[in-house]
Amino acid sequence: MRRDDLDRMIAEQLANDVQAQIFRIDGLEDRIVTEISNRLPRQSGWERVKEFFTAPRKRRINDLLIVGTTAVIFFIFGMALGNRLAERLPSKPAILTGVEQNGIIFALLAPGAREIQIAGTFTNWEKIPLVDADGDGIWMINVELAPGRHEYAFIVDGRWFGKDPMADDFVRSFGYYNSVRYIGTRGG
Amino acid sequence: MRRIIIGIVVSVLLILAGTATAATAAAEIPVSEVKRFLMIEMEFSPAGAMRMWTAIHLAITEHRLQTVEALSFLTWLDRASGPRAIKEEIGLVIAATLEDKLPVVQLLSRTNEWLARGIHLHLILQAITQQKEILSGVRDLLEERGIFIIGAREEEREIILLSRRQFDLVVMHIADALQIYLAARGDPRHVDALYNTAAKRLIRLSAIEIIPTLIVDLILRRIDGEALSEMVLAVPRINRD
Repeated sequence: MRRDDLDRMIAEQLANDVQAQIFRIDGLEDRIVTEISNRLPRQSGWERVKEFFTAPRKRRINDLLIVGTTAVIFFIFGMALGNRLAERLPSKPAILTGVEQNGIIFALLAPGAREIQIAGTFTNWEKIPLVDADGDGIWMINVELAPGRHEYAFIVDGRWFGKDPMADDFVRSFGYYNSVRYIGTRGG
Repeated sequence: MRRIIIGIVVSVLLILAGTATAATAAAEIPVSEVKRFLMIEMEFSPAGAMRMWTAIHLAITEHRLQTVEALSFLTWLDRASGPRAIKEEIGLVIAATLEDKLPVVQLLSRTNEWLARGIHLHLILQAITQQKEILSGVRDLLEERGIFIIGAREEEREIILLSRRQFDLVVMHIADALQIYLAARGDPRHVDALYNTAAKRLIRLSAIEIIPTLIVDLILRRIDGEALSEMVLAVPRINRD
């Protein structure tokens, strides 16, 4: 910026301040610097791209190295974060403890039981625990179920119990009962 | 200031991209893991393991089976206590079911359940062999009555064409309902009971909109108790006095 340009800007800023009735010498420098920075010609994205390609090779390589290294570092950080998250997230189907919307609550009244689990078609028959958080003997779990027919049984202190009073139906499989729930496309 | 904001936004986007990539990759079980588990962990004969892998891999490729379902079944089978040879026979029945392009999901789930309950392996082998025959019988019966998967037999008249998903659901659920009826010592010659068993299951599924009511009505008009009875009686070990 030339000296006469700066003088002209100071004069303009003073005139603006007078017009806005805020004329004072305090902060005048800051206001002028701000104004100068506002008036500096800004490069468009396209101009920056052009500048990158027309820049000397060494500078281009340096720029690419900086951007690339930063990207790789952040991506690796993201991957590590993703792995941690994946370990903590439940595998499908999502098993939610407590009362949640869109889930089906399985509950069993079993005061005195030490451990209650549920296993079914929706868990690939792996056992997952029910919770009695307040110790009132009602063990519960909320499970997100896809529409369809689901068979399941509770396991109370290691013993299979297939007759859930809340079930839609029962079937017998090798002499053991399984409970059945039908889940509609609109839930429930 | 603007550069800093852009820098922060780009950094956050990169972190999110990395997170999503890693989380997605971790959530999906690769097919290679199923192969590794089957070929190395299971200790089956090379020929048996290869036959199972070929059938499972093709089914996964054709979206008839998911990797998680395959791995879950193999894990249950591996965990079960019992002779390795019977475990291999169970695996081969599943392979044969897949080779016949029969719907296998319900059969796998049932096998997992029995393995989880600690049912003897030879009883499981017998039950799933029977169930495979019933699945095959139900599919043949439906096709005999003009109910096909779209693209299978379009030149014929008076046919009902279902999507593979719907056809497989119908076969799977009729077979499962019949198996439960028979396992509970239901009489295979009781034609009304057999028909009602199949009808009840299909109607329940139509009530929750899993299979359209129209399709269930058409199927129930085309099958009958006599045909179901004839079919289940043809399955070995079911024909009893």
